[in-house]
Amino acid sequence: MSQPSGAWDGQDQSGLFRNIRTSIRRKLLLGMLAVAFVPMLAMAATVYWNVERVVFNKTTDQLAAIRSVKASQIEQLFQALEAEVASLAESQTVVSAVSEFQRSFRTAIDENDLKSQELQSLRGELHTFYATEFTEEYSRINNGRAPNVDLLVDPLSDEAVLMQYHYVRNNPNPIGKKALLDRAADQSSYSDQHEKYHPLLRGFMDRFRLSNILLIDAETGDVIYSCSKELDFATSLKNNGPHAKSGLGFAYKQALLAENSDDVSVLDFKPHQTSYEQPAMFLSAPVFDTSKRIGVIVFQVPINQVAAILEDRTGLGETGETLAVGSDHLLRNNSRFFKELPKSDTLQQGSTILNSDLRVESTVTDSALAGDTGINAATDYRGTMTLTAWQPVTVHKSEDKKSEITWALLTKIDQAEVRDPVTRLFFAMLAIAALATIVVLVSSYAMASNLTRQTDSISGMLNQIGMGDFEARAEVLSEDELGTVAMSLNAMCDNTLSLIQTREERDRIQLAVQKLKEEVAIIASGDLTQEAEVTEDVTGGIAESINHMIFQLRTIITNLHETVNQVTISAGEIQKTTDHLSAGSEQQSRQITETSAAIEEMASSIQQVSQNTQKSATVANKARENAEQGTRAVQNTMDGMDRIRDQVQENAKRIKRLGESSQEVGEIVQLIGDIADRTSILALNASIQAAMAGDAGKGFAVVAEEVELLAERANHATKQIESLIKAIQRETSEAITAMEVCTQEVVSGSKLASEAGYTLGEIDSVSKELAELIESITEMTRQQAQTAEVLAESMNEISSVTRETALGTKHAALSIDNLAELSDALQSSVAAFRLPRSKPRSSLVFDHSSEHTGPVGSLILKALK
Amino acid sequence: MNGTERDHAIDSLPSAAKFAVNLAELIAQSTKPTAGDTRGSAVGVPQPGTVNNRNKHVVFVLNATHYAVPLANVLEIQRVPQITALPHVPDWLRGVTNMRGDVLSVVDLRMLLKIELAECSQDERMVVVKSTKEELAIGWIVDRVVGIRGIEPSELKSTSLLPADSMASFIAGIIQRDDRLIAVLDVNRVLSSPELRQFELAS
Repeated sequence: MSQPSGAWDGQDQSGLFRNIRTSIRRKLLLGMLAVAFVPMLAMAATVYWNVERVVFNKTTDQLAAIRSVKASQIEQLFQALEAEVASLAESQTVVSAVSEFQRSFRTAIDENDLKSQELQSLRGELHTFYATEFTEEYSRINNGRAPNVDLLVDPLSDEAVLMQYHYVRNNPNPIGKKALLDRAADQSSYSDQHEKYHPLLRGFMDRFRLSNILLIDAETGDVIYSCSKELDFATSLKNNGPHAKSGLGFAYKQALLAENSDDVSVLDFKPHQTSYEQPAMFLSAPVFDTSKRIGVIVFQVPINQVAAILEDRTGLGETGETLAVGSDHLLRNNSRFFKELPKSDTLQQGSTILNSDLRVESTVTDSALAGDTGINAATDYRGTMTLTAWQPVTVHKSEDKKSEITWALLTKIDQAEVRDPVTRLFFAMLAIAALATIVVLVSSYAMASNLTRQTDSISGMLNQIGMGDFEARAEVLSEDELGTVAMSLNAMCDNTLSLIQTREERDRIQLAVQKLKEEVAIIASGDLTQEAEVTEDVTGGIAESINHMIFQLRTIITNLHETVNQVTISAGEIQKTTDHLSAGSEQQSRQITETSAAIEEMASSIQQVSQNTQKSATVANKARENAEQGTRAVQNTMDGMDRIRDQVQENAKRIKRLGESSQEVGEIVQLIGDIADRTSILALNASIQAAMAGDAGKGFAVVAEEVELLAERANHATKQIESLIKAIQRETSEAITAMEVCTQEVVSGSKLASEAGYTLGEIDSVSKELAELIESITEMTRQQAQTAEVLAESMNEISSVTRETALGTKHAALSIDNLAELSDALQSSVAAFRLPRSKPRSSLVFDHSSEHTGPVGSLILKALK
Repeated sequence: MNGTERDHAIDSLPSAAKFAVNLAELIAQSTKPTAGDTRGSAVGVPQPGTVNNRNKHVVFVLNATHYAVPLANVLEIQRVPQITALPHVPDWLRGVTNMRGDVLSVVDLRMLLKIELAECSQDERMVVVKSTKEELAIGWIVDRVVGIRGIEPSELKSTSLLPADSMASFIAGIIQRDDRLIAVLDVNRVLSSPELRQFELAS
């Protein structure tokens, strides 16, 4: 059969077809790739450029729209404020409020009936208020900076002191909520007027979200009313006032120049001191009563109104923002990137509003401030590339160009954010292209393989036939047109092969067969020297086969001879080996017997050990009993000691009592001695009296003498008794000391005894452990003895097995004798075949046979061993 | 009751009672007349006439030296009474005391005779003496009164051995008794001594 897989490997015989096949596959692959890629690339490029353009245009339009909306919102805001200032300035309420406040402001001091001393103390208290509450709030908002209080308080007029005292310092509301007070606790008509107008103006201020509304006396420059009651209230805005140079003062002066109430002056945002340096814008308009300019109304606008408009960032994505920049190049609102900006000390309260550390000076800003509008890519204040739309915003229009206020409005968004969808599209297309390439490669490879497999099969078959193998057929692998071609080729080959054979050769074959038959008959008789003749005809092949057979037969017989010889020799060798083996096994049997005797001896020794350990256990138990007896004896000793101690103490007490008794006796004896002494004196005097009596007293003198003698003896006796008692007392005290020593001895004796008891207890526990140990040793030796017995039995078994082995070896020797006899018989039976003297024509064949004999013989030897 | 039975009886008594019995025996022994008692007198048996009243003397001790004064000059012997000290008087005049209503001057004889003071004695006594003629009574403080002893005038020995100082002038003589010398004082000389007389005149 043909081998299609072999042809696949590209052997050199199929070179012609291989070229054709390879080129088909390559063409298929390249063609499919081209078809897949060209339109895809074209489409991708178109989509990419279009999307980029659309995104850019859309963003540009969006920015422009937002910018314009914000600009118009800001302009409307300020226009509305200007209109409100103007209309309020013209309203009758404000006109009457100004004139009333003007009048009552000047009479306030007289109405309160204040003297200069009292005013001085009010000024002092006001100074304290400036230095504490105002300064604390100011420092809190301005990172610890403090205002110069003296500069603020000293220029205040007496009216200002009075007003600020009542409406600011004595105002019960906290800082920032001072506007809530409608009337101060004083007697002035100013307070009556204040109560009348303040709620109205405060409502107005709240409605328009202003930070303050102020009314100023046009003539004196005094701030006669301030809605929020900040510290510019009641001060003079003329040259000597503390706030004359502030934005408020400037607004007042502007309003003095205005011709009518519609002519509103606007002052751009600036930090205002009394508002704790928060940015403030001032709108001012003059107030006319009929045609007399009586005052000025000022609106203070907080910047958060502007900031609220600009910080609404709807439609500006992640990085877009709108910024208002004044002609001073400072921001009017907060940057959304404030946290990312480098920090500096003057950045107030986390704000970029009017922050001089952040000047926005770019060509875009300049262009907007110059009045131009546009959209372009630009670097912003952070150094980031942005798409920026700019335009100017007119905050205040004026005929006078100098007082006109214009801001630059910048709406911008980061280039990166604008390009983000385009970039993402680019990467998505790259991924799709990679995926498509893989799919096209895999599918076209599969298709090409399917096509070329069938052509390979056909080409392999044709190749075989070309080499003369007409049996070769092509494998039908597909059902398409190529499969049909393979089937047709196979059918053609089948038809051609059957036509090759002819009938003419049959007779020749018959003759050759006859001749061959005769030659084979000779060989059959056992003569292996003969060979069949090899001819050209049909039987030639058969003859050759027969010769081959004879040759093989010869080889077998020769091998048989050699093998039998080898077997005989080997049997002899085996005989020797088995003899040796049987001798060895007998020796082994002897050794085993000796070993088992040794093991039995060991077992008996172990039993001896076991008996000895049992004796040890008995001894240990005895030791334990002795220790227990010892402990009991010690306990008895200790009890005895205790009894002795008690007895000794009892004795000591008795002896002490005896000492005390002898003391009493001593006292009695002393008394006796005293009596004896007195008796002696009496006797002496008696003697004297007797002597004086002369002869009549002679007898009495003798008695007196005897009495004296007795008294003397009694005295002597009492002295002896005294010394005896002293001796007794000394001895009793010695006895007591001795008793105490005895008690201590007894105590230490019982301590020693208890130590002995403890030691005996330890001996007891140790001998208990010892007994347990010996017990376990006994148990182990008993087990060892059992094991030794088991071992001895095993050795006996091994001994019997060895004996059996020796017997088996003897049997094997007998069998091998038989084998030798059998091989002899075999040799004689083979001798019937005759073999040629010389070796057959092919030496190669002979060598082959001899090679065979060697390994077979050695194999038999191995098996016997 | 023989000795053995008595001993048994004593042994059976309690210790305090035993002591009392022993004490009684001790007193009895000391009062029994001994072999060495030279006077040989028995208790309660007066033997008049053995010693002349005139020759009787009161013997006392001043710092281990025995002195004697005639019994005729002694009014009485007392324990040292409470003495009221007087101002501006010599050391030997201890003061005055109340003697049954009479004021009695008390003289420390040891100081008067310039004898060193012995250790404070429990047996200190006051001997009240009087001169034979003038009926002047004075209390003498002495260390101890030994008793009344009879002294024969023949026993008196001269005092020529003693130095002829003020002390010598008070001594009438010296006798030897039981290996001991006893100085016999002449009370009249002592009481009429310049020291006492000067004091007496002054007072």
